[in-house]
Amino acid sequence: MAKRILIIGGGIGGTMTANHLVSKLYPEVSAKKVEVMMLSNSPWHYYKPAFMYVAFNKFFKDELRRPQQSLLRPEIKFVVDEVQTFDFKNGRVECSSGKFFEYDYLVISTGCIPSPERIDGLKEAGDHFYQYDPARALAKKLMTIEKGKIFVTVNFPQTPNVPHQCGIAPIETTLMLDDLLRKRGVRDNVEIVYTYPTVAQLLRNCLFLQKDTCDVLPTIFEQRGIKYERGFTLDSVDPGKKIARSKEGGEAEFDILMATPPIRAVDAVLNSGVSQAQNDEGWLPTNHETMEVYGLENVFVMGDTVDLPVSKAGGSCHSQSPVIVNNIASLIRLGHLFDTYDGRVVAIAQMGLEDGMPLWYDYESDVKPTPPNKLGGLMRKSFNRGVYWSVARGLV
Amino acid sequence: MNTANENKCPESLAEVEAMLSPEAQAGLTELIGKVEPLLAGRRLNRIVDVMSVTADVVDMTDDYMVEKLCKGYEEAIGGIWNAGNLARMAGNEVRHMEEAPSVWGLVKMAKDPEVRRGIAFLMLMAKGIGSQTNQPLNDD
Repeated sequence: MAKRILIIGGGIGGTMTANHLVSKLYPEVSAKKVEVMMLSNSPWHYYKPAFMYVAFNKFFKDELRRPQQSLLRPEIKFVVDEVQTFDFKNGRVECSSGKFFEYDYLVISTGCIPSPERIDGLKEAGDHFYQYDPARALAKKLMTIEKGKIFVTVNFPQTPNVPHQCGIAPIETTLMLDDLLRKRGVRDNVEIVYTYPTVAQLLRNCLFLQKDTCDVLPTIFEQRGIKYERGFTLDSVDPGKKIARSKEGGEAEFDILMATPPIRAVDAVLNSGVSQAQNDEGWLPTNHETMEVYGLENVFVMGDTVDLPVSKAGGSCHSQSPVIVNNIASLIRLGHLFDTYDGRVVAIAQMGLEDGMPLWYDYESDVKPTPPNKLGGLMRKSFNRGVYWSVARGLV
Repeated sequence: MNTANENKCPESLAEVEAMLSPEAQAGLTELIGKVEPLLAGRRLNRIVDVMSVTADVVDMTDDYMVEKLCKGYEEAIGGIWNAGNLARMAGNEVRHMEEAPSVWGLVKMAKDPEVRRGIAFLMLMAKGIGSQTNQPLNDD
């Protein structure tokens, strides 16, 4: 009987991993000794980073999604169903349809869920761009604001040394916001205030989660007339008075509160009982080199669901996926693990509406910021519109 | 505070060299050795021309052009990828057949709804080709 590799989640991590597994294990797959199966709760694959562009009227919904099946090699068995329960002891998962799916090797790539409701008043009065509908709602406000204050806040998970979703996104959107308001001719009447919490992973009182980038941000913001404030950890929001309050004791009025919200793992992961993360956030305890889940056999995790200090973004999945593929292949063929993840993350940051900045870092070294330019911007836009889908297919 | 000397622009290669570390001076000397024949043969001009054209293309490219180019890229790559995958999978299935299917075996394959969908896909493609070629092109 064929050994089954079961991948949970049809995001970028799961999709590129499924395709890469078929490619790597093709002799076994073609001889029907190995079967690759994917479970996803949607027949659609969404390019999640494009939700950020939706908030700036740069993407329609149909431009940022594709049918999941069209991105998968035909050897992959694709099932639309939502995992309800992980039964690690018996090597199977139970889905909302009532069906059970057994596995020999499991890859959990279920992403994370923005949870503004975890901060009092934020869901009612705040906006974010990490999902389609909230991004559309934010776009309507950004396209119509004539005067007032846009207040930007960033909320980290409470689990130590775990970042928020897509580390660079708050800076990207703050700069895009500045460009958009200038294009609309209302920038002089709209104040932008960028804030950052006191604790940002291992740093204190910074404007970003890595020091080198933090050091160059004041100059970038001052050139654009963007105000910035350290030590603002959002504690609660008064939707009636439109006031944001910080744990440090500060208060700020706003017309638009653009917040990077708290995040958590999906329900099935939260309820698995494996997580040791604080505040019921659900991150799975991850071996930072092999990408296995600690305490479980033949179970791997990637992307947003890990408890590692690297960005919760596709640029992390892109480097984690080959490690997991190699490790599963070596377990099947050699009986032991083979590869290690070095914490590498690669991305192109959108620095304003036109410019871009390629960046990379790993466990040992931080991002070295370089001057953003139009060529970098074109690289990012080309990635958004075309190259991403090749990445999902496992071609890049 | 900068001194007047620090603000002064270098006026000769020797002054540039004097501003560099010994390692950078060695690197510059090596680089000049590589560039010298290109300068002498006027071939470096071509490199500058290429850079100029590249800069023009970057300046002329806008979001709309990126969108159209990338759509073409994705459709081409996606189509080739999909066709290649299907051919490889079908080839693998055929290789694993112990003997060629009989005519009746081929007909029986059409009982599989996925096979029928595939045949319908091919027939609808044929219809599209037909509809694109149903206008006789008479001379004006």
